[in-house]
Amino acid sequence: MKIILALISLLILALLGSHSIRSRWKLPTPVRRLFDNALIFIGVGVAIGPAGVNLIGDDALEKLGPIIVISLGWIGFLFGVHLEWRRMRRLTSRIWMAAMGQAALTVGLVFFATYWFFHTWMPTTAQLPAALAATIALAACAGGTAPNTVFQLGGRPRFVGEIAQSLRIIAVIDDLPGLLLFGVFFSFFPGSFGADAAFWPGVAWLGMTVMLGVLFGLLLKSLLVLARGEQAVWVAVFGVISLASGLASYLNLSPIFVGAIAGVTFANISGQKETVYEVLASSETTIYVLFLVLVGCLWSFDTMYLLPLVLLYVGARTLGKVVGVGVGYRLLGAPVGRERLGGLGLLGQGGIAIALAVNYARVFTSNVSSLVLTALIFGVLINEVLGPVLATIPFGAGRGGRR
Amino acid sequence: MRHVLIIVVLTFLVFVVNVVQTGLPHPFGDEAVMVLGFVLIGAWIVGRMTARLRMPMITGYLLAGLVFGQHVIGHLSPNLTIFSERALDQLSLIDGLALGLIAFTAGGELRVKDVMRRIKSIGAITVAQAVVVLVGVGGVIMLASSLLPFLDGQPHRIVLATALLLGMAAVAKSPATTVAVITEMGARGPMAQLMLAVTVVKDVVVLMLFSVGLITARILLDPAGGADTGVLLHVLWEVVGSLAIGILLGWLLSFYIRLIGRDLPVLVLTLSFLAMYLAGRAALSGILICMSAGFFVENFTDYGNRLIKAIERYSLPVYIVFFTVAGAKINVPALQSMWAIALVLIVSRLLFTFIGTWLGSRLTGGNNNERRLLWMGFIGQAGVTLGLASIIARTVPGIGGQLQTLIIATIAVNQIIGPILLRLALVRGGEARITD
Repeated sequence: MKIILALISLLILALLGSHSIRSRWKLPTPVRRLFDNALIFIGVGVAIGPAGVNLIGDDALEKLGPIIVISLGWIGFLFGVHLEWRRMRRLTSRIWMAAMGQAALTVGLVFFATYWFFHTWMPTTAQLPAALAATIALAACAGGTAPNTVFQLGGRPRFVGEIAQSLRIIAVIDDLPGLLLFGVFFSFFPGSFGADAAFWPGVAWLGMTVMLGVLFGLLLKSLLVLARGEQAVWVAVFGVISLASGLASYLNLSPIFVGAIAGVTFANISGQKETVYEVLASSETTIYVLFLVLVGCLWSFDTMYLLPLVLLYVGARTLGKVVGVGVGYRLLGAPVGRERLGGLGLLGQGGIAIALAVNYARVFTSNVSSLVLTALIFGVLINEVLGPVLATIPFGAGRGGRR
Repeated sequence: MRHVLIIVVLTFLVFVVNVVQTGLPHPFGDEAVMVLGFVLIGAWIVGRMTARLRMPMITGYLLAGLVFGQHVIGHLSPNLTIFSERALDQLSLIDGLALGLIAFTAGGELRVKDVMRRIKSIGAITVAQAVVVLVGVGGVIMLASSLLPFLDGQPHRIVLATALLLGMAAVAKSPATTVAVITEMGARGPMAQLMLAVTVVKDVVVLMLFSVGLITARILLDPAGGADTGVLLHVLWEVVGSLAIGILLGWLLSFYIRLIGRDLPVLVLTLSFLAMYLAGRAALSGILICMSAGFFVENFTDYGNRLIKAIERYSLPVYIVFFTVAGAKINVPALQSMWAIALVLIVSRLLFTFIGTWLGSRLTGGNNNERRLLWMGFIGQAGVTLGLASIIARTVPGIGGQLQTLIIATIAVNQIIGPILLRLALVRGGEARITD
């Protein structure tokens, strides 16, 4: 009964969420952005979860696991389906290098900073394997940017021309290094991070992950040949995403990674990308709100290490983005003035980062996983609020435009 | 060919997953999500294959559940089945939700003016069917009691109680099957409307009849125990309370549509869960709550059409999950152990359903189509009958368990032949949009 009550609460929140996102309420820009990106529902989750009024307790939260698993696959698939080689190959090698370089630099900086943190500040509570898993998860989450936050920079006086175009492209593809790192990490250490890890089994699991992703992409293409009408397309898309994410999760692989490979495969072999995209978009808000509320429920503010870790994560990530984009601009030969600090426009994070952290915390349950998840959520919220403010340095003040 | 290939790939994946285990514990729900994906794809494909054979798609979903379940493919090798007890248990939430949505559709498809126009037919057919099936099937059981080993040497009153309980179980039918096949076939017409109306009314009648029958049977089985009239009050509360709560939910739904109007499927999902919650909490019927909510919106507000469209948008996945899980739960061992008496029960139920429907239709001047074909719409049995069987097992001392097994065995067959006959009736009656 408790689980049904939890589901009712969640669905009502999803309804209200969907309504509030579309509403025209006048709110201060940072708060409006939290509504626009639905991140406000993390706060709602915190309020109704175990850290709040406990409407959704630990038991109900565990039983709502299927929603989280499906959401992870969904987010991965949605990311993958954007990576169409036909479009990607039009990008110059320099923009690829700039995008991947800044993401890799950010991943590396966050990795070393958080690794140092766990060993210096938490030497007894975080045993070596657990700390290493935590740093890899945080680093993988740090690399990407929520494309939406970059699109919201439109209208700022210096966010124009080549600078704006390159940042938009970077934001679409810079999740890749983190996602790859995450996929490899899950393949080599499926569900544990200890002495039992070995090279060849890791390679085999990685091969299996890729094969599964490709197989699901092919399966969706094959099913869509048979599907007539919106309902049948919905069944095919939702069926493949559920099967892919459930199966990956069951085998302790990453549903996001498998979903992303399925998405990439499908986008590059099928001509029905738009049909699928419409189906995904029709349920996106509901699924995203449900997911974020559940993420908020996982919030655990019970350690003194949280704040320093968050500050370190946000600081290292900001540094990585700023330096990475600065170097990237030089590589691209873009005009450099105050715009060289354009990395400040890439601070916003969204679905992929949160999904990666949730995926990690679901599988690698250790004494630091809830700390990492909470720190990441906190970091995402800080970036979301501070991002637009800091973006005024390189691009000037905006009109607080909405999506 | 593509259909077969997809099924082979899915079966191979199941095999791989069952063989290649990491040996690590899984967080709750991983298996349920995987099975959900398998059900959506696999059962949909099998449904398409049965549609090619001029059978309803829901027969395909049931067959998919049966074939990929523990008793068929799982019997060949446990590594080939995806429907473990745990997975089926985890899917029960979606199963209940689907039933709620189906009940919303059933209520929403009933229009007062149509019902009132044919109120005599609905009443006569419902009563005639209930009486004829109860008396007829009960009589056959009394005559064939020697086929029931647990009645061997028992006094006459116990044979009578058994006949009464099995007769009552035979009266019940599956509203979900009727709604699903009518929706799938896009059936519109007087016969489809009559089938739906009788199905909904019968759902209430069965509850009443069952409570009275149960009291009678218990007195027959244990004359010293006396009558427990609390059961009657309980049923009265179940019916009246469910209708009242349903009307309230219907009003809430129409209020929401008027005020906001967006994301209607999400709201219907919410209300279905709410109905389930209230049904569990206050001993009400979730199906009746959802039916009366749908009925209220259709008949007392201007939003009936929008509601039905919103539900129908997701009816395909709902039917796939509901009927595949039902198929996976079909109890083959029960059928094997009692096939002879089950066959007698099934055949007599078919015969007396025909006679009861024919009689009701004849009394109210029904047309030829109605008299010949309408009975085919009342054969499918599923959740409601299973529920009655479990009540019998719990409350009837001595023979309750064996009766439950026998009823489950008959459900296994009726569940498969019911949708096929219903489709046939709609096609022959010229009311199906999709015809042969």
